[in-house]
Amino acid sequence: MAKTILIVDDSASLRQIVAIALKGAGYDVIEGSDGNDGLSKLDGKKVNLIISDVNMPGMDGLTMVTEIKKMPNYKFTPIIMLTTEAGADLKAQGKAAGVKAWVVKPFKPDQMLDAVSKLIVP
Amino acid sequence: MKQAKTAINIVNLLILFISLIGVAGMFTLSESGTDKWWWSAGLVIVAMSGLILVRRANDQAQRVPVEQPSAQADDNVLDVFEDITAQVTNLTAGQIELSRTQTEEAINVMSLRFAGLVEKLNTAVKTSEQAAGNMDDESGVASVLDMTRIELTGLVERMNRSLRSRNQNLQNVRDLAEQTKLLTVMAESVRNIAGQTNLLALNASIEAARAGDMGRGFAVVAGEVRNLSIQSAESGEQISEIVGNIAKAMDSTLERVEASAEEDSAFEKESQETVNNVLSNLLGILDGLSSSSEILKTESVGISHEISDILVSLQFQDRVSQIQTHVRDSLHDFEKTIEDNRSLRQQGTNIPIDGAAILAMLAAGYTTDEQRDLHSGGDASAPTDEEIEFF
Repeated sequence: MAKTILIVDDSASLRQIVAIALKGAGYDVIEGSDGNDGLSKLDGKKVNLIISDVNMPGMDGLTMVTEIKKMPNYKFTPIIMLTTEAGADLKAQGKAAGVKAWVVKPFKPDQMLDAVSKLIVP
Repeated sequence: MKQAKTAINIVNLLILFISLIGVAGMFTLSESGTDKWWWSAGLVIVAMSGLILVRRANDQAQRVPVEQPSAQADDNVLDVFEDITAQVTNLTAGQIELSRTQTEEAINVMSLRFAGLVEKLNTAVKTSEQAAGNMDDESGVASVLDMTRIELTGLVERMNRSLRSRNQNLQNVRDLAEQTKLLTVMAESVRNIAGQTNLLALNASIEAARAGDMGRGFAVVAGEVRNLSIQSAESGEQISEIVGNIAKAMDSTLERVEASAEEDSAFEKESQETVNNVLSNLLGILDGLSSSSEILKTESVGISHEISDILVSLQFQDRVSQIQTHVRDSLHDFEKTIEDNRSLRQQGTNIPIDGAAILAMLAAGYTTDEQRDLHSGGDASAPTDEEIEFF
């Protein structure tokens, strides 16, 4: 059965781009348009990995990560941040919040798939 | 200040009017031949001097606000400046947002179409691979065809063995037919012996009758021998009949088996040719499929790289959108700062705009390194590839 990945980004086109790369590798994809929308997608269904933007209207990515870590069903779900931010401070915040990897946009599909395959939970 | 300007303008007009009267008087008096035109000339000179003085006063009046600004003049200039700045800022932010949303919508539609294209391409490649089969795969067409060739060749071989076995049986039947002919000859021989024995028994009966009572016992023996010869003749007859029937059945069987063997032989030859033709055709198709599959594989690898590059390029819209969003928000913040400052000033609190604070607020909202580089006066080049950082 295909693994499911949640993509959270306020840019519909970027969600689409990530989805093209992931679906091509056989993953199922669900989408959220910001932190709140992303959390609403974690409604009990099995999610094997989460990819999220940092800067988003509504709830930002790092706040969403903190909220996810409070959810019993998803606190061990690996999270990759996909953002234009490359600053060491934000990366440190991400690491402290429990993020597993930091990818700076624009990402290369092969690298992203490699990171996904390394981190995804069975 | 407006009142001073109006006064100067009125004086200007007055002097011009006096000059015109002077010039008109000068011409009228000179034409009338009187010396009094000098008075008019003097009037013009005085008026012109007045005009020069007024002009100077006007120039000074215009310079005065610059050298010694009044609070009222400051407010008016600031009001106009703030109005224009607020309007320009608002309009610029609107234009940036318009271009951002239009680009995002266009990229979104493009991404959706691109996703559809990629999906169709993947389906086409997969379908083609399934149809052609992976040449290294056990379920591939090449493997299936090879198995088919082995099985069909085995079938033809088995058919051949069966034919050889049938030919052997045919030979056995032929041998039996030969033996049957011998049996016929032997049956005829039995009949002849029975005839001879019958004749001998008859002669013995005659000789026994001649011997009288002495030959009576011998006559009985001769009678029995005769009976045996008759039975032998009957048996020979029956054997001949049975052997004849067997021979007929064998002849008929031989005819049928020989005809069948010929058919089988022709069929075997035909089957072998058909199998060879079918395999040859299939191998031809396989070669075509194999080469087209190889081309497709090579092309799909190339297309996959192209797709990967396009996916990277498409993401620049996201970076640009973030920069534009930030510029839009910063312009709105700037507009608000100006509005707030004006409200405070109108309430009597004159706080100077803090340029450093505005720049700091601008810098705080940057989301990309190139924005920060540009802000600090560095080279805002495109982002470089970064490795994924694992924690």
